[in-house]
Amino acid sequence: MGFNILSLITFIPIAGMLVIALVPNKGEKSAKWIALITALIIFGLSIFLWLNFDGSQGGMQFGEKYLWIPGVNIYYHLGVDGISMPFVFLTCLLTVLGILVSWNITNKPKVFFALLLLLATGMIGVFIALDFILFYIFWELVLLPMYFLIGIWGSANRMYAAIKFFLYTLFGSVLMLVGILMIYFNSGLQTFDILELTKNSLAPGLQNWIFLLLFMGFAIKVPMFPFHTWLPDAHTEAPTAGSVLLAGILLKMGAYGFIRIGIPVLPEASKSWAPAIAILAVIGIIYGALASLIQKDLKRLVAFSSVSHMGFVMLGISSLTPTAINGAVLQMFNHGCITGMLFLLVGMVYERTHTRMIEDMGGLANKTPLLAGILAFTSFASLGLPGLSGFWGEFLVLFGTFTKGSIFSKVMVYIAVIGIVLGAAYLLWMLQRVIFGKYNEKLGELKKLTWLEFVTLAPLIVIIILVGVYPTPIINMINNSVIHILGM
Amino acid sequence: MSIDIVSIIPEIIITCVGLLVLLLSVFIGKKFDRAIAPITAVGLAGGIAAVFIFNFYNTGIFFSSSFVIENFSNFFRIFILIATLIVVGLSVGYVKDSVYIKRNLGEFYFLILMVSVGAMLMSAAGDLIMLFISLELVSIPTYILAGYEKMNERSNEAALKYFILGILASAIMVYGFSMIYGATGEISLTAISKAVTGGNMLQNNYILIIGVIMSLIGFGFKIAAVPFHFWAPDTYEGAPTIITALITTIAKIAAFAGLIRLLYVGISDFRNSLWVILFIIVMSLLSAILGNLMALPQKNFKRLMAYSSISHAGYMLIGFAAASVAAQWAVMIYLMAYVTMNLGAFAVAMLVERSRKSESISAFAGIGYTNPFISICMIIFMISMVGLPPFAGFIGKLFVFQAGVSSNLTWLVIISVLTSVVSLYYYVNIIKQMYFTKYEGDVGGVVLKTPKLYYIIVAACALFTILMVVVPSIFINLTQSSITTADFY
Repeated sequence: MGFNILSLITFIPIAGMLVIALVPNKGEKSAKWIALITALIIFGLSIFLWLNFDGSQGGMQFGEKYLWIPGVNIYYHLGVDGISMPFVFLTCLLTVLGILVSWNITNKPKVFFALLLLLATGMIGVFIALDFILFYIFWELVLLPMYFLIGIWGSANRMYAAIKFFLYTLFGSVLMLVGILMIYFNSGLQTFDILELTKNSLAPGLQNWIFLLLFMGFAIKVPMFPFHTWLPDAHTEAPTAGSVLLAGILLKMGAYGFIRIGIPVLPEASKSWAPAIAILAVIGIIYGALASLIQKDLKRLVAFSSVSHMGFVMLGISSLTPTAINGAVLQMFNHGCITGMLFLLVGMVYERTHTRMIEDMGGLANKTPLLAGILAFTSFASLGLPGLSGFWGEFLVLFGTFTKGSIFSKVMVYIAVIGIVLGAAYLLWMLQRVIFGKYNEKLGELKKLTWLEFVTLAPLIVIIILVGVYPTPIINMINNSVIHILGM
Repeated sequence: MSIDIVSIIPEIIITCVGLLVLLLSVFIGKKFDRAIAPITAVGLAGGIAAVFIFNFYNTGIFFSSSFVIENFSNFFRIFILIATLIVVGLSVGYVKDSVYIKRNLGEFYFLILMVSVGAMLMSAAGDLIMLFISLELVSIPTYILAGYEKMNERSNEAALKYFILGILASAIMVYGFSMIYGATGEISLTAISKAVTGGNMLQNNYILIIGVIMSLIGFGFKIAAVPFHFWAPDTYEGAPTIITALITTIAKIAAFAGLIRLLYVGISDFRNSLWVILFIIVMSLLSAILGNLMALPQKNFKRLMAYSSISHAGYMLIGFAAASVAAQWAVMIYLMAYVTMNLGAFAVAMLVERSRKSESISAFAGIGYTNPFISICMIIFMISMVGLPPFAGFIGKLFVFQAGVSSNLTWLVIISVLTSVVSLYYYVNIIKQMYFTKYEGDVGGVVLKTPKLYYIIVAACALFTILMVVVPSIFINLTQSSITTADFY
């Protein structure tokens, strides 16, 4: 490769942000065009990257490595493998869609689009950084724009949600930083390079402590069961684009951390912590599903469903078998598409009905059949209907965990399956109340789905069907890297 | 002797400029006022040039070991001069609004320059007497400056509290010095180091240990570490804002430079003394915890910054508790980051104060939309204070914590990073005011009037804050080559 494509993808959004900053206030309308063009460029680059990506290899590709801080061996080290590739692509895609769905925003559009681009840099960086400090910098870079997106453009209770999100995630990530420093000094390698650190010689006892610190950082971001309380608030209060990126990308960062850092760098600790993670994951699955059942707010329902679905991801990671981790990565990708889309749809419904309360809706299918149809389609994908993408992730996670053979893992699978049933229950019940039944006349006339909205939804529909029908290429690509990481 | 004089040419220049400004303003009077700040600035620039010309390659020990020129002292002298230059730059607009400062302008700048000279001498102090004299030279002008607004009760209270507690601290410290002298029989820091290390005195000589701890108490006052911080909130709040900026930066740099001198050069094997390390750890821990918790309910910006500066002192003390070479340069990096973001934040606060006549945090309301550039810089300073990347505060915290972890103080580091999460709440509160709250004061103050000089200073501080993360190797090389040890002599 003649040019550093990963650096380009990462930093073009910052360039776009600076251009937006230079636009005079009178030309506010051009901000969205600049943002869209920037996002399309990185989206194009990410497609180009995927096309040139050799899926049969498990190792890092397109690597860039420069010494950044010599005294302490901090490198500017980027690279993609089969695990990060889907997320680089998804981040770029959801950034484009996030800009499209916010096309008509009137409140300070300049700042809004500049922040979205800054957010994109942080999110992409997390998935391609291969140096701990670089990883941490991108990890934290995400917080500030998201804080502003929720705080300025959110709904009624936004200030509370924004600061809660900020404090919660920072709490986890500073502990993660200490863990990183402990690895640096105790590994005997004096390096922050994630790939090098897999060769460390940390004592198992120490590994457990370090894992606990990293676990706090990752688990809060996922979020796993007892640390999930920031999520419903943040999701509910955030503007649509914010919710989409939160659900689509930010939640994946935590699980990605477990796979990229937790398992390869701390293999012993991952094994000894696996049962605890599995139990929390299963509690999350059931709890998230039950909580979704009783939600009155449509957006909150989707938010809690994320807790449930991310539980599957964590269950897959905790089983430490290639099949289940493949499933976990695939589930992350699919959840990003599906839940991202659900939030887009909820946003579109809200724009028409001006309410998020399920009881105020009803019979939407009569007025906007296409929107209702897509909502139903996405819900089916979310509940894991075979033939749509949501199925494969959960199936592989459960299959991989089950074939591990121990009684413990079998019990976990049995309980998790209840979660799938509950998932079907809350989604179908939601559909019944929102799109079927008698139309609530108080809502007035509803707009049909516009072209812009349809264009926003179409790419995700295509991906959901494509991965659902023919998942082999993406699973192969993930599998090679997972095997590489597990050292098999 | 002739060479001895060369070693303090920068200090001589600054002192002369100070006297010149003082005398001219007395004899020429009001007509001269406009020229005072530029002359001061030129003098400071001359001081910087003099350090480069006379001291860079002319390192050594002067005035029978009381004055030491090495990379360490040159680093700090330039650092102090630049910080003073920024303070002088900020003062240009500020003094116009202050009746009392305007009345005695020459004296005001003279005192600022004396603080600067004291700080410079401190960074080059080679014996206990020099250490004490220079600390007093920093302190006494700041007492006066804190009370410069004569008719303002708050300012008087600030000065009085600062003075009484400062004098107490000096007394304790000089008593501690006398014990160190009594135990070792030496004044010069290197000789003390030899005596202490050779006689293994930190293990068995309790007079020495008490002496060191009493000196630490004295320094603890000057850097406002808990439990010696009681003067800080009232003094910071009551003093004129420009002086608060001065105290939080130059006086702090001086105290930290002196502390590095005393511990790393004088008591060079202090890492082997459980008592000394324990004392530092307790100060660090209490400062980080109480500083951040007490900052939470504050409504006044300067008071908030007082507690914030207490907590930063706590983080920097981790570097002393770690007691390694890496810890020393980590503290220097942290100090650079802290001073930059602090000056930037105070610059913005002064703009707010001038336009809206209020020091309260709620006075920041809505400036995010009226003054976008200044506000973005303020976000940078605040986030950097929390220690989040990609800003200087992160690099400072990273290296200090790294030094802590490498010295097996992981538990201390964990508690400290958790307190930095607490700090996020109050720093972000300012951001919240700027962007999420509407200003409800008189219409005249809605848009902050920003003189060009303030723009330049704020932008420069913000740029520097980012630069420290983008090209940290420059600053690491700089500080690594500037550390001081007892071996230099």
